[in-house]
Amino acid sequence: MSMAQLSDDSPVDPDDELLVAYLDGELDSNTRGELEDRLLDDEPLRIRLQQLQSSWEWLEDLPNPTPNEKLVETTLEFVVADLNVLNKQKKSFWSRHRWALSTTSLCLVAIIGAAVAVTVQRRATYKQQLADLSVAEDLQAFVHGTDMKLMRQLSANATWNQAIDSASKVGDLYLGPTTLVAAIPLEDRASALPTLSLDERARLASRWDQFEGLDEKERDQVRRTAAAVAAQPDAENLLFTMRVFAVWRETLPANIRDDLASQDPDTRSMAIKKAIDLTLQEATRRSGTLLDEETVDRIFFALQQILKQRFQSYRKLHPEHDGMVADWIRRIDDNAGMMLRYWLQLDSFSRDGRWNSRDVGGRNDSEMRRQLSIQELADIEFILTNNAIRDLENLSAGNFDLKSATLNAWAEESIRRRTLASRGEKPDLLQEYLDLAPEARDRLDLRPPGEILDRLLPDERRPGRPGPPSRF
Amino acid sequence: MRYQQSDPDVRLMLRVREDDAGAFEELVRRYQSRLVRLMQHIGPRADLAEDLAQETFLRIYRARKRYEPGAKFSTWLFTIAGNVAKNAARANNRRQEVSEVDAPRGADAPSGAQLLAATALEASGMMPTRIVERTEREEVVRAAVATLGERQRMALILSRFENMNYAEIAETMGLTTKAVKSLLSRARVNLKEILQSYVDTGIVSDEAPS
Repeated sequence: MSMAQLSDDSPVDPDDELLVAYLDGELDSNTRGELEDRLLDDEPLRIRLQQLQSSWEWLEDLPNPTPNEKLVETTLEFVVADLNVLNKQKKSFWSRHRWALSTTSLCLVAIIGAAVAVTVQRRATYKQQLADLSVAEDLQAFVHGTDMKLMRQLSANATWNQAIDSASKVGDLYLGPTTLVAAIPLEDRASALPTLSLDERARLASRWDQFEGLDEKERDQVRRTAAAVAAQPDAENLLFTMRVFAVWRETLPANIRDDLASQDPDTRSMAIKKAIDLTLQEATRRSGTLLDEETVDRIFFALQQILKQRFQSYRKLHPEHDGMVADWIRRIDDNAGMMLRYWLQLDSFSRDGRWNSRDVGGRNDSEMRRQLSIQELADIEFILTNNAIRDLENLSAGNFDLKSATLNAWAEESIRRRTLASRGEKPDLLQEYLDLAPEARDRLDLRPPGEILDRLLPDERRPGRPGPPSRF
Repeated sequence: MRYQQSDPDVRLMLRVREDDAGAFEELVRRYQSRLVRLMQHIGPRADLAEDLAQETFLRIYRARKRYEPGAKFSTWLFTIAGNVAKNAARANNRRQEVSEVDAPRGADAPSGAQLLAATALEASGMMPTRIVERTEREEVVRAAVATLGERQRMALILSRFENMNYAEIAETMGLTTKAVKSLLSRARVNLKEILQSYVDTGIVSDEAPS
């Protein structure tokens, strides 16, 4: 007999399953009882039970396990050996994970290193910026005053110094405070910066922005120049001259600035001379602003006397105009406003009493320069205050033409101020502006420039309105 | 807790959990030979039985700290033994596949059923009386059991030699009690058919169960 064996998935005969459970003692008493009743009556079932049981009995032929002491010992040794290996593995945790740990450590070190490097780099950058701040502060000096030889020449040039001094006094040059941070030690600068005023910080920030606007090559050049200047024995004086030069050159026309930068010594020398003359002339022209009221009064008085003398001389030559001239002279004392008219006609009345009619209205009023004689200038100078005489000497620097020009400028300024005063006007727009109430000034600041001028100028002097010449 | 009180082996294992080497040695003494017998039948090869038994104890010891007494100790032990045997069978199959690739088994290579037939014929000496000596019967039975499916073999050994009831076998093998009941029925029927065929005709079925 041959039949296929039952796999785990093959269906099982319910009776076989029942019989096997019966043999294994897995049936409850009821089922067992029912089965035993069936077995009594069912011969084939009984035979089947015997077959299943006999096959099980064959298993008894398999040998029973016998204790094997040697195997027990081997097993224990095996386990102990494994335990030692495990302990060793635990002990050698570092060695087993050394790569992971090393990599992690390296990463941590790298991260920390990078953080430190960034911090160090930032500190170094900040330190460099603090160092550069003193360079940026005098950026224009280091950019335009690179020719140390020229700077030393200018520093030793009395006329240049005089011109600078005069220009500074009349406000043509604003040299500003010498330094803000250069004098502060590098290590103290960070803490000193917050103590600067807002204006100072704004000025520094502006110069720093200019410095940052340079490319790296230009910045290096500026740094080298600064270092070279600092290494000079006359560094302080040199830097001062460079700073003044940088400011001064900004007041000059472009062609002269170009010539100052020329490599040709003659061109440069000529440019320096022209520039100094120009500065002095401009300072002279604007020197009237230096006059105090007493000096103005004195000069005005001197001018009144000069006019009277000229009118008297005219009357001697023209006795037929005696009455008219007497009226002129009387008006000089009575009406300050008349002085302006007479001043404009000054050149028509020469000192010798002759009438130069061609000069009256022959030139644009703004270009007119009244010619006082040497004696008349000396008369004015004679009555000046000591301060005014000192200013005059400083401005003219011993140059007669400059002195003459200065006194003429002062004469015009004196007449202008007195005329304006007689009309109740402010001496200048700035004063007019400053005399406004703060709220009015704030409102004015928000207006377009044309409207600001309209507001400050008196009606008769506004553009397009009829009135006296606008020079005053 | 129930097993902790009723099963002395559970108490021993709890001591092993506390690194009591003596308790572990006692467990090895109690179960080693039984494990070897189990492994002889459910392992991939009989000659690996002792190694697989040792491997089982090794796993028991390694897992001692995680042991919780949720069943009889033997149930837990034989569950692990079953896993060890399965892993060994898989490893053995892989090795066999590799060796077959290297040296394919020819038509002469005997299958399990052919081995049993050869054993039976050799043992019987082609004698019709089929008087077989005990050692010969042992070999025949061993070969017959080997033809059973893996789960049938496991259930048979646990039932016949470890005297486990269906519930314990089910817990050990991760099956239902009903499945164990069917499994053991098939095992008995198969064993009966194989051995009866041999006894009657000296020929055994060559259709091994899957």
